[in-house]
Amino acid sequence: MERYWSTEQTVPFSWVQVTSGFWSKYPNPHSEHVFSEDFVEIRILPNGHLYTKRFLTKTNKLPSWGQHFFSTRNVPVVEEVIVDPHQRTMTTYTRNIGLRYFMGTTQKEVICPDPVDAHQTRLKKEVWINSDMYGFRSAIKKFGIDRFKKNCASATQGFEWVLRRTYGKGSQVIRNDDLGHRNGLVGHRPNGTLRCDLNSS
Amino acid sequence: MNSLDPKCNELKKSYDSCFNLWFSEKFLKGDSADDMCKPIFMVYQECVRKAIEEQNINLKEIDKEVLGTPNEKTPPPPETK
Repeated sequence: MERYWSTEQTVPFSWVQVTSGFWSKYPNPHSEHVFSEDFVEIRILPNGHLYTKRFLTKTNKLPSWGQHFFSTRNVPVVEEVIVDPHQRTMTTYTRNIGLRYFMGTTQKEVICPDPVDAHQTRLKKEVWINSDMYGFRSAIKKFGIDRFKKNCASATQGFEWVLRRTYGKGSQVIRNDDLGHRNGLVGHRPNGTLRCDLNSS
Repeated sequence: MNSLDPKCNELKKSYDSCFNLWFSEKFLKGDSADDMCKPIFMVYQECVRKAIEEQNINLKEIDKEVLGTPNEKTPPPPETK
């Protein structure tokens, strides 16, 4: 059975800034693991939405026990994106296509304007982790979910770094929302950075 | 950010500039004509696809589409207590 986790975050930039800056998210100080990035498809769908696909390679930091099985350095990753400019929704869907037998990670992110403050944008992230390695599935899935939870705040921080570099400080108002999520907690540090807390599940 | 193959870096840089401009100045403003960057895209793609093949990466898997199809993953049903 797959492991699933979801979380929501808010960044202090408008939806236009976030979606425009999305394409230049890498490199950033939190993204040393992204090795290459290339568009492989761009088209306008019949409904006027934009569909893009990028092929990325990421260096894969396996736990030491995983390195016995795989010596692959770079993991191939496919990122699909659909942008609806009228409803103001950007949906991203990212999955690794190599090493999936060991650990398959699928991440979906929905990016919408904050319903209350148009200067801010909501990111809803979901992740599914699976493994087909008989005998190691639970350990691998736990490793994957724990790593994702640990990295999800820094991934957003890295994105915010890029947005600040492009647009300046962003909206001054940081709301202390009750941003609930399943199987985890999201909160704000006093200085406005985001963090994803781990819980026991 | 680098391309998969350093040989494609200049093409990537040119395409990315065009795309970024098109996305914020045209697409988000309601103009969905997508031919502005097509010529650069075609040359860039030739380079990238060649690199993908040379590196024995699974092109079939890259060409698969999942987002927006029934093959997308869905959240598990809510737990009942």
